[in-house]
Amino acid sequence: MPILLPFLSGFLGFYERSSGNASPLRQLGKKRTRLASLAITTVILFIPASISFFITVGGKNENSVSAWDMGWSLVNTVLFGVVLNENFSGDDKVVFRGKDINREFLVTLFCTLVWELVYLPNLSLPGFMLCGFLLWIAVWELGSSSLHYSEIGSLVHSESLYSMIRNPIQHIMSEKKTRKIAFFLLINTTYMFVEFVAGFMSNSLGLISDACHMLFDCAALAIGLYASYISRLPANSQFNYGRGRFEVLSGYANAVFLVLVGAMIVVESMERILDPQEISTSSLLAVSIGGLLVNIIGLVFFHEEHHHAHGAGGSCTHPHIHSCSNSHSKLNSNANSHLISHSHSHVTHVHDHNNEHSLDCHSHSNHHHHHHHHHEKQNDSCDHHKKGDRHSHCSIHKGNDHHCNHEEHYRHDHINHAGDHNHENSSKHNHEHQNLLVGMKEDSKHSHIDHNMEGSFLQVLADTLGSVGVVISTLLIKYKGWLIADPACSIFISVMIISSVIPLLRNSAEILLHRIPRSLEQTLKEAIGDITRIEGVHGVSGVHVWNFSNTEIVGTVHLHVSSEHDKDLIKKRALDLFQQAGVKDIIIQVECPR
Amino acid sequence: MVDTSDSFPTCPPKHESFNHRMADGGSPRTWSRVYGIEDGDRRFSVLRTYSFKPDLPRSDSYISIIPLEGEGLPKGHRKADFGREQNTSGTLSVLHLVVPLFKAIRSGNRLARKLALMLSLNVACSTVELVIGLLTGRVGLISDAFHLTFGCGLLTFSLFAMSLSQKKSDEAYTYGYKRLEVLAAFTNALFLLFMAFSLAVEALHAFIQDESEHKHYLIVSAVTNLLVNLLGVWFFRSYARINIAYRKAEDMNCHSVCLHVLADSIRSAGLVLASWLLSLGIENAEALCLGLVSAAVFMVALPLFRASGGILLQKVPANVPSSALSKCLRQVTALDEVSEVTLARFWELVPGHSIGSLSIVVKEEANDEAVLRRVHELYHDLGIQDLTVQTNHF
Repeated sequence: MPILLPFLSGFLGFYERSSGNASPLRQLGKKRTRLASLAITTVILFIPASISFFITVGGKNENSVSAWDMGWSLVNTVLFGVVLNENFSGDDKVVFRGKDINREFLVTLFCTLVWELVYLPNLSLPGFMLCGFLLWIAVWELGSSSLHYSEIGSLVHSESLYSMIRNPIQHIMSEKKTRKIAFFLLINTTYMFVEFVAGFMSNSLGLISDACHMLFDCAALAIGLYASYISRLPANSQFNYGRGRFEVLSGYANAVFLVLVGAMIVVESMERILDPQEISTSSLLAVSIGGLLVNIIGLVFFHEEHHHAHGAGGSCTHPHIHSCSNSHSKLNSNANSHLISHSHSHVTHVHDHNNEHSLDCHSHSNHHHHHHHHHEKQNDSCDHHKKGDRHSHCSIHKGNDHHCNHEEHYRHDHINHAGDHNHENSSKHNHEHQNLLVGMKEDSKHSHIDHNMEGSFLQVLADTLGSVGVVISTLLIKYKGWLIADPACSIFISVMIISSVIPLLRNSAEILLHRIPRSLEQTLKEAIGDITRIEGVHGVSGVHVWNFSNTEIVGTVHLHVSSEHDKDLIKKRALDLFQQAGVKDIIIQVECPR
Repeated sequence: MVDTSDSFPTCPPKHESFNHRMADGGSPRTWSRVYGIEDGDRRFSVLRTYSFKPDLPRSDSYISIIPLEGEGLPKGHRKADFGREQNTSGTLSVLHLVVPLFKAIRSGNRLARKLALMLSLNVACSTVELVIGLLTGRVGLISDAFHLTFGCGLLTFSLFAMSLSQKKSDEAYTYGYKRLEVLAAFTNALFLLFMAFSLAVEALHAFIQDESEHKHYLIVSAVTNLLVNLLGVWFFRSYARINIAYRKAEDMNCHSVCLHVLADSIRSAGLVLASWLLSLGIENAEALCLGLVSAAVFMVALPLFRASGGILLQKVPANVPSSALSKCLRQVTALDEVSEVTLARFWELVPGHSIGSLSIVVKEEANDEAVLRRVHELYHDLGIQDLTVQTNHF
């Protein structure tokens, strides 16, 4: 109750300010308006002040302090009202800038804080937080309605809080896949609270750190969902290329957070090693096993998703093509299906490719055909993202928890990838051979990880491992009494998590730095060579090719052409060459140097 | 350098090729005056280290006319300053990482050297703390040492970005390495947000657990930390504001470093304040202080996060008002020979270097050269130096 006073006064002040812009009041002149509003504010505030006074008086039983107390609370309210009003700077400016709102929000909060500290030695933190939060929402709502100040020519409209929350949720609910992930997010959050409470009560580092990790996991999932919503919004005047980059950025952010979280866990484990504390294992086991179950459900969801996308695509088959040349037959069977290639040796999966190789999957919404060879070694499953000859992903080779990622895109109409996942160099050569053999338009695009989902997935995976670790250490503690097992497991797991995140980090950083896509390096060189060999082309300069998101490649090029030749023809030829190389979106500037 | 059209701010640009760039000192002033941003806007008056020398990153790769032996490989390097490090296989070995670092420290700009100094100071502090903590068995010191090490790790990344950004563009990175600075700034901002979040969790922890185990020795380390960080803020004092208009690539990086150090000092100050308040007898002071610090760090890091995120997300250049862009577009469409503009996209590589690509439809008889030149001129006034225009005839 006492918290409400400054809150109310601030709110009133703000409202008065924004309503002071209304024209009838303006005729009164600014000063008079302020005086009037001040008087009104004081009167209004007087009521709660007297109420609180009566409450405090009811607690005490002297009369001598009554007048002093009453006067004091009144003075307080007036003081705060005036102070808050005085903060409105620049009477002449009718336009309310965003800075002002922030400033008065801060001032209100600060005043509340000081007041509380003075009066109540026990800071009721939740009440304070709640108050601050409400104030923030109120300020935002009022602010966004009074900020009509937008640039000429810009089509950006400020959204209110409500619509900002509603749109993503609508979008998420509209698709089955994202709905599942949202559901999993909900489960995760509730379980996280359970784990937190249990961890605090039993003072186990493993549980607390696992709960913390679950927290980040939920945050990562939420970021992932939000990013997948945002990346579908169309291009506008602020984002000329669209917002597809959000996914890459969110993948990068997830990776950075994972690294930081892992490092933090290592630090805390070392702390625990040096300063071992007592852990009660009674409820520990149940809770940690529960956590493991939740995580496994999450993993299953992630898998089911792309499995369903797989099945829903219709003619989704797994052609087991063992040699490259046979894939010709696949070429013309073009269904608009999303054949996602994946391979895993996960036990719950139907497709058990233990020794069989090469799944081909493709189809492109633009009806291009991709060749995709996937070779799989015995126990490892790897996917996508092959750089040179190195293995880049999926480096968690542990027990039977293999996961491979699928280049999962949430868009139904989107390509899923194609690329060469070759673990042996010989097959790479075959692939290229095939490119030349077939001679038709082939986009030997690299398989593209959906960074977004990759990041979220890695978080979930790390979480699972954390749970497994906690279970193991709990068992060890219970049955063997090795207290050191707890931190040791945590260290081990976080090291593994960090090492699995590094490829994602590197890949997304490369995209963000506008590096030439690794898959295109070779083909691009050839294409450029071809272009320089076109008749009439003097030179090529300013070749910039980069990934906009995992799947879109953008390029710009300057061609220097002699003036006697037909520029259009040369440009068309160059365009064709680039598109064959895989760069769909290319802008060519043709110059005739004299 | 082949491109002789790099000129001083006062010379008009020559039109030999369309890759000319006006000096950086010239362009932002003209449009800022044209579009009404007052000169008294303090956010635009930035740094003492800002120099008016023409800053011309030649990031293109030019392929020679005569293809050699059938392979027209792009020649990446103009000057082989940093050795011929051909990273075609893509692995940056440790040596490649460390060598530019030392080069930059020795020959680099003042800020890089200051950063290196601060970094070494931090490392020394954390080692001392670690050793003392191990010897005396105080856990708090060890964890503090580790936290310091994280900060150092991040600062090392920033330093690395600073040094690496001097490299010219090579085959794989066609735009050069300047964007690494923006990435480093973004990572720093992420780390700050993470720190704010973890401080909030700690505050919650302190609030719930209610154990006021008062570690006195931590105050000494907090004070030392505070002093070191304040020294760092002093080094980077020209960047010590929350909202800065970014002019060059290294602005962002240095700003992020400054904010990082500032946030660290706020945290140490918060710890000291918490222990003082605890001694005064106010309960929950620790939770309160940590909560305040976390909110402060969050708010400090948010503008940097937004700005660097905007650049990484290919947003339109922040220093060009969108009304100016649309005005230019209208001017292009109003040209006689142009029937329509099909595609116009702009983005920022690093703050201050904007790149755009247009695709326009030109009437049949029009002279392509003249149209190209005119369009380039129009956008040049805006500050967009790299423009690629594709003229279609249908």
